[in-house]
Amino acid sequence: MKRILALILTAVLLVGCLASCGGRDKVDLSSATNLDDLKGATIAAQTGTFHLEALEGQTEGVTVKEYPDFDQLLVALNNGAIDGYVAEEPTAYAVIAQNADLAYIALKNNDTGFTATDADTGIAVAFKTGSAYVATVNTILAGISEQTRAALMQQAVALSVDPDTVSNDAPVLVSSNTNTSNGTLKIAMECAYKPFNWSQTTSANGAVKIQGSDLYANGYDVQIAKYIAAELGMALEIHAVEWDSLITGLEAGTYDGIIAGMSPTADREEVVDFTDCYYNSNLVIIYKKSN
Amino acid sequence: MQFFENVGNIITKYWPYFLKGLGLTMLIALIGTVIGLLIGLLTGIIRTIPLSKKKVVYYIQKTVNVIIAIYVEVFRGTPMMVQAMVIYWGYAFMNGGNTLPLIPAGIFIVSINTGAYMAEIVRGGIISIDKGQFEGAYSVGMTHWQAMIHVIIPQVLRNILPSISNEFVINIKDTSVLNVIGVMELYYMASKVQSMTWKIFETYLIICVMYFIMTYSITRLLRLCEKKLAGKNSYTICGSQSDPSAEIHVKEAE
Repeated sequence: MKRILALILTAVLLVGCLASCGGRDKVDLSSATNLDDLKGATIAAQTGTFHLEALEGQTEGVTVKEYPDFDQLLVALNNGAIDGYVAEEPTAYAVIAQNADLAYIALKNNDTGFTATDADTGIAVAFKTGSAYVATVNTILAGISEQTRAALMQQAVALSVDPDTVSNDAPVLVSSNTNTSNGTLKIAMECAYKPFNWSQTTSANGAVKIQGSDLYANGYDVQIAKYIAAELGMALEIHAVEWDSLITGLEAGTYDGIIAGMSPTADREEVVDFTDCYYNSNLVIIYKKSN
Repeated sequence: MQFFENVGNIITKYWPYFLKGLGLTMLIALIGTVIGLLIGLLTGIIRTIPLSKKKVVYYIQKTVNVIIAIYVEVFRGTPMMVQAMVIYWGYAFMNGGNTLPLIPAGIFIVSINTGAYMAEIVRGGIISIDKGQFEGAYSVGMTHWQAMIHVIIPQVLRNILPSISNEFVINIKDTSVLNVIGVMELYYMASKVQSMTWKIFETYLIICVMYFIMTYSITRLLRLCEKKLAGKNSYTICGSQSDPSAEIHVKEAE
């Protein structure tokens, strides 16, 4: 009798555990058009980022969740653990290009106290403190027009869907300088942050071989890096580096610069020098249209 | 089903990368374990040398023992991931940005880490050998070194084989932490494939299976070695760690 009782109790406990894991009220976001429509939804952001501050500062009635790893956010969204997550607008383009049931709403500067500056959402090239590259690269970046930047991003997003397939479109940003007599420019990036920089298996669409690897890097950052190196009259070397090691490697002098979709935040500004932004983006919330 | 289709697609497109990662994981784990074992044997032999009566030699021995003890404690007491970061980037900072070549750096880190564990395993193995073995060896005029090489170490190796295979399996899995410095082992490859395909679950499930196949075949292989080393049925095992009664029992015919 006691044994049966114990078994029943265990079963009840188990069911209770499972029920508490799975129970989350689903919100219908199929007709969402602005931030107010997200009320009641569970929205996530990456831990320790400006994304999280923005989410907390601008939305109301939203359950905020944190994930330490950016890649996990998309997985969580796809398996229903969250209803949406905060990302940069280009990420949204790339994600939606591959997942038809996703959509996004922009987080905009508003009068409720939320403001995002270039230092928060723009991305810039980082060099070692006091580097002479900063001024030269600023001049080079100034020569790339807004239209070219937008077109380049559009192309990067289009290519990110299937990077190994050769596209017929001509590259948007090409330098006329082919002289590489000024040495090598070693640029570090993650090669894992579509559409800014990603890895692919072939050299299709102007991808650059990753140093010491069989993979190739391409994306918005890579095209910018190629252009900067060409304008400087240098050969480009791309290094795939973990996010946390990027600034360390720059300080040690292993790499000459970082072009990795990195925002010039005040914290980072203390240890490295940033150029002007080479892309300005918005923060958005990517969400699932149907459950 | 969509899931199996995804797994199939990932395998057909990225199998060369997975295989390369697997090869590098095996290479680093194997060389790391072997070098680690050598470090362990060497430190084990040195630490068990009887202390000399001559003052000078006595103090040299003491110093060496202290150095070994510090090595063991430091490398056993800190995570391998942290060691990897400290050694790799520490070297870069001290050498004007030049980094260590990745694969040798990975082997080095795994080796010294394993060495610290092996030092303790071997020491345990030597202690477990019956005192009479040492006395017998010394009484026929063997030096400490000779006694170790010809009498003690062969028995130690047989006894610590389960621990060695344990270390090997741990190394196969732990090489994955080397991805923090960019060593292109299996986990690194998976994280790259994952970033290309945005299929986290499928990708990691594939390498999960690959890791298991590696570790399982290694344990089976080393179990075979153990059986082989146990020898013929009439063999007497002395000072076995796994079986305390083995010292007095002759193994019975099967």
